[in-house]
Amino acid sequence: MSKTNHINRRDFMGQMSCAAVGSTSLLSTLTNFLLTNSAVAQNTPNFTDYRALVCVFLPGGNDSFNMLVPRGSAYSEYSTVRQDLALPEASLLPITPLNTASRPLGLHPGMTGMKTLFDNQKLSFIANVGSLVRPTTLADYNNNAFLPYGIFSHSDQQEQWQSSIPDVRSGLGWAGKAADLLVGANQSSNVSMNISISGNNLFQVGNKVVPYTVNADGAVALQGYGGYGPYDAIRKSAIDNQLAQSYDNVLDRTYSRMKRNSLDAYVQFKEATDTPIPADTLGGSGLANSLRQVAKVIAGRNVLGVKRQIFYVQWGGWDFHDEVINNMNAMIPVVSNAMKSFYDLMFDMGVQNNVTLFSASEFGRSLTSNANGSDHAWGGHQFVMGGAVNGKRIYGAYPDLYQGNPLDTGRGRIIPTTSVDQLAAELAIWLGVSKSDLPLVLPNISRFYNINSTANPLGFMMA
Amino acid sequence: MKKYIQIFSIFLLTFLVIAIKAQSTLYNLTDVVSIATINDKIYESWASPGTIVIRRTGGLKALTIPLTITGSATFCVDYGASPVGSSVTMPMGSREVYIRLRPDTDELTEGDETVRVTLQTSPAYTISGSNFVQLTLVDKKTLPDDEEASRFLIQAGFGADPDELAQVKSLGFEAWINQQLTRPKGYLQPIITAKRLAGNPIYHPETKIALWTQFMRRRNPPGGGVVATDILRQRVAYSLLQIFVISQNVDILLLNSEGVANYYDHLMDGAFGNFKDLLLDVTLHPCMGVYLSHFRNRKPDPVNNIFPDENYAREIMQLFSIGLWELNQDGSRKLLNGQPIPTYTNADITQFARVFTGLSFGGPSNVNATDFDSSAEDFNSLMKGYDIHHDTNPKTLLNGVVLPANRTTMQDINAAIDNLFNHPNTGPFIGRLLIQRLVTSNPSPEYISRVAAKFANNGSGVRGDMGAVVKAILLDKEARSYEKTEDPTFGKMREPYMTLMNMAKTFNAQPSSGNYEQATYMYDLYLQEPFQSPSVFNFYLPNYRPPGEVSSLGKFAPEFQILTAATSLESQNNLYRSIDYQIGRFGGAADPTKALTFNFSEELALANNPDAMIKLLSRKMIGGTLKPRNFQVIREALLKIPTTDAGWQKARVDMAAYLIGASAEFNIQK
Repeated sequence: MSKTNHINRRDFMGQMSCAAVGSTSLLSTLTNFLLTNSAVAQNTPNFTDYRALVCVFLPGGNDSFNMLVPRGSAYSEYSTVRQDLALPEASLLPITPLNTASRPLGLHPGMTGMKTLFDNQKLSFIANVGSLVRPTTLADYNNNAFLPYGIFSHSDQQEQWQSSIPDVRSGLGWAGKAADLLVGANQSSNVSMNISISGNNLFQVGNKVVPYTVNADGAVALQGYGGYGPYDAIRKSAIDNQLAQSYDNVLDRTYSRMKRNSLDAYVQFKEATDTPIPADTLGGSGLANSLRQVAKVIAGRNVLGVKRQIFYVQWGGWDFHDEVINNMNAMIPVVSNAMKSFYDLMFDMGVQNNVTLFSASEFGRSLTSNANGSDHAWGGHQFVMGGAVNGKRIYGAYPDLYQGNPLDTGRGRIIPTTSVDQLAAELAIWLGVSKSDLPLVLPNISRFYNINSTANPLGFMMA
Repeated sequence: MKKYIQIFSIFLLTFLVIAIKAQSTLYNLTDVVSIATINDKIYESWASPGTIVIRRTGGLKALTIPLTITGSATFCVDYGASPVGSSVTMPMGSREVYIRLRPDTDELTEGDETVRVTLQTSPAYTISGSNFVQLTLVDKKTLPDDEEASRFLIQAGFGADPDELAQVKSLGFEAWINQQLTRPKGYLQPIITAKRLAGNPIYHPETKIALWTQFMRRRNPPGGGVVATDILRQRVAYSLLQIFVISQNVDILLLNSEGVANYYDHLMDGAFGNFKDLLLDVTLHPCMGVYLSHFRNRKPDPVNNIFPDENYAREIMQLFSIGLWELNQDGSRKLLNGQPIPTYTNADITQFARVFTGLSFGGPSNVNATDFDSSAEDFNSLMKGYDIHHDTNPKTLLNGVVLPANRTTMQDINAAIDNLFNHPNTGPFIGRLLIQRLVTSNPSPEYISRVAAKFANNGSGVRGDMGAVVKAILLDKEARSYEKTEDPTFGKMREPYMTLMNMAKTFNAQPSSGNYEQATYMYDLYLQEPFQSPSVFNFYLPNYRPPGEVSSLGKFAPEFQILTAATSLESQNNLYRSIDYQIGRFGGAADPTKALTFNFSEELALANNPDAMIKLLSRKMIGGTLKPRNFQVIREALLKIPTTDAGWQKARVDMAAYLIGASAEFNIQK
């Protein structure tokens, strides 16, 4: 084991024992438990290139079986189970994957931009992926064995997609723990390695690294603090003094610390994101604005002195128990256009091979209808995009859709055949986490992947 | 007769030494010492400390200041090695030292007593101003004082507005609650209906405006008259809206503020009504029906692979009644072989989904039992059952309760509500959620248990009496005792919406037109505004833990889920603009009759007396809980605003109100 790894492991063990603390008697020893990067970066992975991972989370449970749809002989299986939720075969945009030519597939008619990316080998799909405790069979499901906690519920499945630990509740996300290992590659900074454009989230929370949150239009400044107003200097000094006070109450302390960090990060972030970026075709949707902000941060990577970054963007509400067809017709094109435009923007910035974007959503939806909507289910399809992706392919196994098939837990709720762990591991490795360190990020990974293997977990990222 | 006063802590402040030269110059200056109070009342009924500050200017050397303590209260000298008694010592570099005096509470009736602390002369310093301070030791009494009543109104209302404060002080907590329980309700829907009838659109801001109108109603409005305000009911209904969430971020409700207001009015009925009726109203309301899609939910059609929608079936259990795990009365999870026990399985959800079939619009226009799909839109009446679309096969509910075949929609629904209402989880589950909204994020198991016991039996054998539950929450010793405010894990983050609402209420931001539209469109600033939750999971989850200490301690802090680098500063900026100018998302009101400005007239009168001004603001905004050190920081800031500046009075008030508003004491409600 390398020295670096040794330090990593000891760090983790130390923090884990801290996490088990349940007694208020230790409060005082935790008083100075700081959460800024600068205070904690210890190991320094040595990367020469820049890499960024962008998570686009589609909360509510995207009905992705209507994004990636069987054509040809399998279409009738799809239309039979989906009934009024089936898209007409003629409306689908046909695709020809390089690796699964035997199963004809088509995309939702609103996905013209993503079809272009797919055809140009810049985008691939991961089929039937979801939270798994371990490889799971219908018999397991019927025996209530090895099931994710709170299965089919939004909040729990969101938590599990973000922690990649579906058997135990965890306060940490896999991107946060990956960042714990990688943050040493970045210059010490007030701005976290993990940046959220969409508020707090579990995904980016690590033992050491916690997300820095900005709005789609950038970081927020504190008014009247260090500006040129007549009393700004007085106000600034008072606020700095307030935030430096020691409080006995843990909520007081947490509040003050968060605000201190926000003020410090703002200055640096503002400077970094003043770098102009090329014109783009993203448009004005919430998703587009968020991705444009991601691009601005990426453009400021040298000012921030970062080699590795993870972004979190969340968009839409996809819980269509009702009107799923109409709602997806309105929202899927927004996603598709944003993907194409974001890729083009990364290309114009010359970082298309350095930035990988992936989609996530807490679950797929029931194949069967509830009259014009679909209900919570389990496995679904996701996509991954970027110049470092082995594009125009379908990874994982596209499942049978007929009712009563060996993956159908009832109502067309399909057991995933690829785990979030595998998807996350592939991305973490690309970002720079060593295979031997994968269990620190994804404690269940060995149930799905031999970390001593020379092959990558799914193979969708170029080596 | 004994009275012990213990001087229990001394807060020492260390300043950075600026430069060695400056230090050596200052080092030999003569000290000038003064004494003042930060809190000049020591309440025996609410064991809150009095605070004295001794300040010095001039030197930086360690300085010993002899004191005498006299007054009608008997001082206990039994405090061991405490430096106070004959003297206090100001360490080198410190500019002030705090002495806090805490009462010993007894049951004796002694009348108010005095405590006087006098600085003795010494060759080491000269004394500036009065050489003594006098504090009042207020005897135990049944009625609350300003600080205690203000704090109560931050929990039970929308802040310490002067009219309500006077009521609480004259009635006491329990009598005030009793009065609130019987007040006429300030319903929301009539406000919106009037707008619609006047030909105005009733889009989503209207519910927010109507809420502001109700929350801001004054007992003694300008121009005379007495209004029967119902702020406790409003506060509870507002809190219930964060449990039984609907949101106008879905199109069909976005444009229909009238139906949404009608839904809120049902929550108002439920606030002090019976939980069973509340859960039934929530279930049958068409706004909930469209929000969680059991509206026009059909019985199964196996031939066409159509199944009942499961959305409502899941959420009524997970979020509205019993939660995911079997609970003890104190809210802790029951364990089986060391593992928590799920309250329901997916199979149970499919059973409940079949119960919630056959509902569509009700109301007087819908008399035909077959108009399930074509019933006339009526969002102001509860849904009704259309039995031909109801699944009439037998169903098995929780705890083995079987619903026989061929019952009507309403028979099945009533039975399902009954099933959940009587589940042992419901009291502790709902009780904890309401405690979290009103009092503290981390109630003790004993607190939850006491509230759950009241849910189970209000004392007259009635289960689910919400008025009794609310009363139990607010009168509990954990909610009321001063000691809890010093508990290192007590309290909750003040909801961002409440930071503004509390200020408006406390400083009486009344528009002359009565129109509160300036107070809307705030969601983007801090990710919270009533009726705008991003999902049925509310703005934050009850079990959210911010990373770091709170998480390490196994504690929860729901509101921190929306506290980010962006919102923490946006929220403070919003307060800054509101204090400096007006409440308004997009600047001030174009129409001056709609301007929302804080009334700081009492504070402006104290502009030349920073200590008194800060005390008053602290009492109004945070129940007098400003920490001495923070008091000092704000005082110094005010003194740097010279009285020769144009507008210095307003500048000082704005600065003080803003800095208290920025403090942890304000943002963490205790």
